[in-house]
Amino acid sequence: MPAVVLVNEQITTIGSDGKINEVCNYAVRILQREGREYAVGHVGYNTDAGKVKDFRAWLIRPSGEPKRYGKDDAVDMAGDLNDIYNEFRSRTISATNDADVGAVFAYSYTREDRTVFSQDGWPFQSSLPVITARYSLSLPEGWRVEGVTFNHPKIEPKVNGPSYSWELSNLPPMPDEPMSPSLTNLVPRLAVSYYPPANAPAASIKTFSSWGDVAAWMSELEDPQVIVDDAMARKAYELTALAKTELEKIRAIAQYVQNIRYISIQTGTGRGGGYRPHASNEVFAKSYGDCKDKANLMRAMLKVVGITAIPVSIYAGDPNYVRASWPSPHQFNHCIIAVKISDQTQASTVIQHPTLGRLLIFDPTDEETPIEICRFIFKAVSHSSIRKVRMNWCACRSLRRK
Amino acid sequence: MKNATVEKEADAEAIFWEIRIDDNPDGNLIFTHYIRVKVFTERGRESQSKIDLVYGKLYGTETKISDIAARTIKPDGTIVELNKKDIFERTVIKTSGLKFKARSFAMPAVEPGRRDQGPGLRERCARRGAGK
Repeated sequence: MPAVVLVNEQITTIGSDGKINEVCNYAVRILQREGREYAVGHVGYNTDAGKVKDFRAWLIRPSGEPKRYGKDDAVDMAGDLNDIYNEFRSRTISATNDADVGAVFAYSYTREDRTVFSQDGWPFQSSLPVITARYSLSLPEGWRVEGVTFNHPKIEPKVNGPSYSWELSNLPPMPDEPMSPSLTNLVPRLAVSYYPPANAPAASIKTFSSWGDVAAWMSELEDPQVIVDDAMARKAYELTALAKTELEKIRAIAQYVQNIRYISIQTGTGRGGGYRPHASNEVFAKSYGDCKDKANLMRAMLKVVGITAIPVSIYAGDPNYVRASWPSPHQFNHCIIAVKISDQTQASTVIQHPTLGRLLIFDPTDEETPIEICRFIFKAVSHSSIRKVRMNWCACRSLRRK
Repeated sequence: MKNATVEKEADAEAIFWEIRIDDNPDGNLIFTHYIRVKVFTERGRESQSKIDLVYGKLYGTETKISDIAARTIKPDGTIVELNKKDIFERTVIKTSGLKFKARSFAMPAVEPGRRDQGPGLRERCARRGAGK
């Protein structure tokens, strides 16, 4: 075993105005030379709503001699270098060059967040064994919290007044194995949702107590962004002029949107911006956008030719990641589209939804795969995770309402 | 012009690149770049359409960037200018003694075309100044 985590602790305090203060304390002992790579501290933050107030680290060498790391040793980097703009950033302190076998590396940070969201997810471990892992949450008077545990029997919190603490000890390592499930489906994870009383000053923060709440909120963000202008309408008619069937119309528009360049610009993420597509007429004019922009543009162009479509939020890459027991938009990382179709359209990507009827599933971000195939997502739909993907269709609220 | 001149198989080609150097009396060395790129393939479209102009401070030397302008000339001759609000400034990396920033943008209105049609020309211009 390359290293063992001695302490993994997060202490979260919610202010009465909804402001979040997080303190993280982490310590790892290096057991093998390969374990030196774990002598690294990270903190991620979002410039739209958060800031790192304090970040420091220590190394205790096997001789007992300590070394301190502070502000001058931290590297602050853009979270995703490929994005044109993304508010997510990370700060790192690395002691990999100083750490020897037997050394203990520890770091601590304080982060402030003013996000509108009132949910948090926390893994008790990564692949390393952990001696003590603890998540503590302190709430203002009158607030309530609900916690859900994944990949582990339910953990009941220790309650001390308005403070809650979920703790696990002596967690075994999770060694990497070929073709194994992802770590997020193996290690114990906690997801919490907290709710202010109705008359609290922070009542404006977003709470999600059901999938209906998530769907309603996402529709509020998505629906107004479907804006059709003359140029876009002309293009939609031009693309479908020779189409004889519903499927040919959908295919023509799908191919056009697939060829729009993938460019990601993420702003206002602390206020839900990461879930709001840019207006479809802007995306059409600029000819670029990210997954939700593409899905939204396709939805708008289909609307022009009389076909209804709805954005579908999913977690790409792991069909088992999304859990029904935690209604939260934070479980999604990708947006695709479901096109409402008639009985005349037959394709392997068509599914029958219990309330929405026949839907053709398509990923406009996938540049190569034709409309009749949904490369990895549909595979997930048609097998064991169909229940979860259906659950993802909280974003279909607008159709359910009709 | 359907193919590149210098290398026939190229996905894109700089058909004009002018750099003016102004070693001005106030101590700043100013480079003004004007680049015109012809794109021939979809791969060229992908590689040329996202622009990161990096600048910043490296152990006492500081570079700045200003006056960014860009436009796309579509195959039908229509010109689409880059809107200033679509230029984003971001700090790429920051640590003791080093701070690299970037002005980033995507070339506008590069429409999907047939694979045998070049998506058009891109032109961009920027001034980069270096303190002495």
